[in-house]
Amino acid sequence: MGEYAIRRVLLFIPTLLVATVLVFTLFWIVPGDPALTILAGGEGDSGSVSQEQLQQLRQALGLDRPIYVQYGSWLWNVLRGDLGTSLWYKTPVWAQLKDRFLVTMELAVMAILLAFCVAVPLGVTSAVKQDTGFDYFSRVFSGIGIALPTFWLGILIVYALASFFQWLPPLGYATLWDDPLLNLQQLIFPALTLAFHDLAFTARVTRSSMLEVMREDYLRTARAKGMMEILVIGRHALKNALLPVVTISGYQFGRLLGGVIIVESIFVVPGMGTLLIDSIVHRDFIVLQAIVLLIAAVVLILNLMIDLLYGVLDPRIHYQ
Amino acid sequence: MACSGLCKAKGVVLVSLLLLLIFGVAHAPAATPTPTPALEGQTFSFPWPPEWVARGKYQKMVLRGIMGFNPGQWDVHSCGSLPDCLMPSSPRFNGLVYHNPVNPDEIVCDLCDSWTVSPDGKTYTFRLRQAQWHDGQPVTAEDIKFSLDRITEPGAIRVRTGVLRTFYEHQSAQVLDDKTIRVPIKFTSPLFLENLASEYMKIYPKHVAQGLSPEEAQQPGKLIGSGPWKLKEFKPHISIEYERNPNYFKKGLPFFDGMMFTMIRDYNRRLAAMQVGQAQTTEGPTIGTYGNEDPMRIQRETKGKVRGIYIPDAVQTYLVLHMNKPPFNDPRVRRAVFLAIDRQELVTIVRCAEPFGCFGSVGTFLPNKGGQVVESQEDLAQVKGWRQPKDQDIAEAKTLMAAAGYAHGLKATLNLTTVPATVRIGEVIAEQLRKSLGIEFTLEAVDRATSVDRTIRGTHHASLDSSGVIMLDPADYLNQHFLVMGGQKNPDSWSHPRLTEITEAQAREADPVKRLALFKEAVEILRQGESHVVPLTWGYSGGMMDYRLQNFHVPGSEQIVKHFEHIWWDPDAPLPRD
Repeated sequence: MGEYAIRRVLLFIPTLLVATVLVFTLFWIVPGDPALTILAGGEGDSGSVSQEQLQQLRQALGLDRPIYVQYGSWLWNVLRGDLGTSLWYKTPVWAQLKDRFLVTMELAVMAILLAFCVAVPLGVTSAVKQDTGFDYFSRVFSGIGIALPTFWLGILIVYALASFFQWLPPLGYATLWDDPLLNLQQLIFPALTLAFHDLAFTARVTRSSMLEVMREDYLRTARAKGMMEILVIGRHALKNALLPVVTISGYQFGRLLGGVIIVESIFVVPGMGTLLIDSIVHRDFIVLQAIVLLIAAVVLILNLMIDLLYGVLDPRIHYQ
Repeated sequence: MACSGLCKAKGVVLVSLLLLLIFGVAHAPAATPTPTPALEGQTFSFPWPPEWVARGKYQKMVLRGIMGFNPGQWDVHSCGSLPDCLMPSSPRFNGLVYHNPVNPDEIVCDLCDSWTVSPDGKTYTFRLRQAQWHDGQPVTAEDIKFSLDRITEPGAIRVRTGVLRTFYEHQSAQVLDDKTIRVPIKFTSPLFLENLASEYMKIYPKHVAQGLSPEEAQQPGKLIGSGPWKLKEFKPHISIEYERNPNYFKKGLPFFDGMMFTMIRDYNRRLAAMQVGQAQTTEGPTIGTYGNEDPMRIQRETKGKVRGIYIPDAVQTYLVLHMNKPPFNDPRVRRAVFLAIDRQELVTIVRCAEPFGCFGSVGTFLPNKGGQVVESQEDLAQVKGWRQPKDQDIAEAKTLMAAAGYAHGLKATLNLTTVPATVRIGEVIAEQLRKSLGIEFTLEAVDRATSVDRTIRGTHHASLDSSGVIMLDPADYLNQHFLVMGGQKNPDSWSHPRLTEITEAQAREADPVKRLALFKEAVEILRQGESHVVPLTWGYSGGMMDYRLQNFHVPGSEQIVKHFEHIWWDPDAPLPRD
């Protein structure tokens, strides 16, 4: 298992490299100029910018160098542990990223926990009470959850809170350590928005996985032995049905990090999503690259952890 | 000798007159500029405080605002953006002169106490107030000279302030003493003060700014000001917090303990924040983003607790026709487009919203600002390109298209941003031109950074763009579109010899009547429709404020009156009925 894990970790390097090369190339294919954005502003008003001024700033920022030189220079700095300096903010990227990363992770973990805690009991109950009213409700609920786009749900929640309750999550941001209650107020609705889709999907997978397992012979044997139904379901059925649920949870986490971008914007959460949007708007490719690198690393690590978890859940699985 | 009755009566009259004189002086309106003839020219003095300061209500509270942009540039001398740069910095600094916050068309002293203009109009002598920087150092004439020279530094990037180079020769100002500076200008111009009053022409402390590199100056908090607000904390993507400057030289101002602006990128979330009372004001407090019916809708839904505020005709939307390739390299095709657009219909469709009315008007070339009306809506009703019905203009446009070899129309690409209002404008003019001239535009909407880049590089056949009025003068348009060649506003460097002469002449012309005549002549040239710009519509700049915020006077441009020094909170203010 150890050798397998090391091999997987080594594979991270080319994967991350490919991700950064792709983003870098895409960034330079898409029109837009960081120097122009700095001079004219990212949005709203734009100044009367001349070509001379543009050229002057491009030179100052090193943007007039060939793309491969810029990429090489960026990569060399990253290898030395320096993620670079933001073109827009003129501050070290890591200084911005470290706080944002924690916010996003908190939101994503909150969402995945919410999804998991509701989805698994929902899916299990739905399977156990197959073709009952509860099962139909659960299936409709899951269908809605999968069909609704996350951003739309977010806007609906904001609209409903503002219109019917004259209340919205407090503005600003308090960390979990500084003010847990305020932090919860600020993050619960974005977490719910993010969780809804995952909850629905996980519930559906749990249900179908449970239905499959419940038809297995060993469950009939367990019941024949006179084991209590709750133990049959909890100890034998659920444990075996969880394997696909864990698999999709890993995938869901990666998807969550994507969904977080819009949800953070709607709910004014100062996480990596907001920073990512800003770095695109401002054509701040130094920040953008760092975010992509970080997200890619998180997803890769998570996938590895899930692969390793298979062995714990099912001892029959061997790593080669 | 004892005083007689008559003598006593004389004494009483004398004392009464004296008292009357003292009373009169004490109660003279203070904020009004007082032209005083002087030997060396004319002096304008602005004693402080004005009458409204006494009425202001100081509240021990923090004003809560929202903003949709995340600032990254903090040196207003070099930056070119209102929301990203000017808005967050302006409350921290003063200018030498500025637009009177309670009468925004008027230019009054900010850091100066008075100015004197020489008889030939080519030398301004400014006398300074007893002001101090946020670090306690006094503001001196050296700081003013340093700032004027920094703004006009040869080769330095000066997007908004570079225009001062037209009037002021670098390093030509003379410090007469600690509080007096003499500023010679290159030629007599009615526009010198107007440009100097721009919010971008901030005065920096020499002892701080001269030690900063251009990159360092762009970082938050590196530069300090003398303004009503100090930067307390800037949290990127979260908030900007200001604290009151207790030593502000305008005694009694500002009227809050602090200000906190929270950054909310999502437009609808910002509206919701105002609706539920999470914020008391929008950024600016006005900006083009809110120049639509939404502030009025929120005003209605909150039953007047949130007040919609608007600056009419603050943002011009126009079409840039790229002349670097066919078909718009042909002046006949440009003129055809200019003639065929139905601006009246455009305004009705894109600027009007039932039941709130219209939030824009038919696009003229020059802004009717600074008390000068160059193109009235009544005049336009008779002018080609604006007159109704459109039949005659469209017939002429068709003839021009046929002469240019496009009798059966053409296909073209239109570069525009994804801003919904812009997309609507794009759709309407594309449909108008398809129906009238057979021009089939493909609309390619992208984010602003991409769109601006496309405009400058001329990748498309036409670009839809907009720009806010910076200076309260009709010359604003000429400066923006014809002063900088090859930039975003004039990508193909279009010029016209007479228009260039007029642009230069109006800046030197002191006689308002003659200036107006020059502007009218410029408009006649532009109405030939052969330039790269096709004016479409004027839009509003809008914003929202809690009804308890008092003393906000709508300026003529969203680019001025950004100090937030004059606004106060009246907890007892009556809720407006409508």
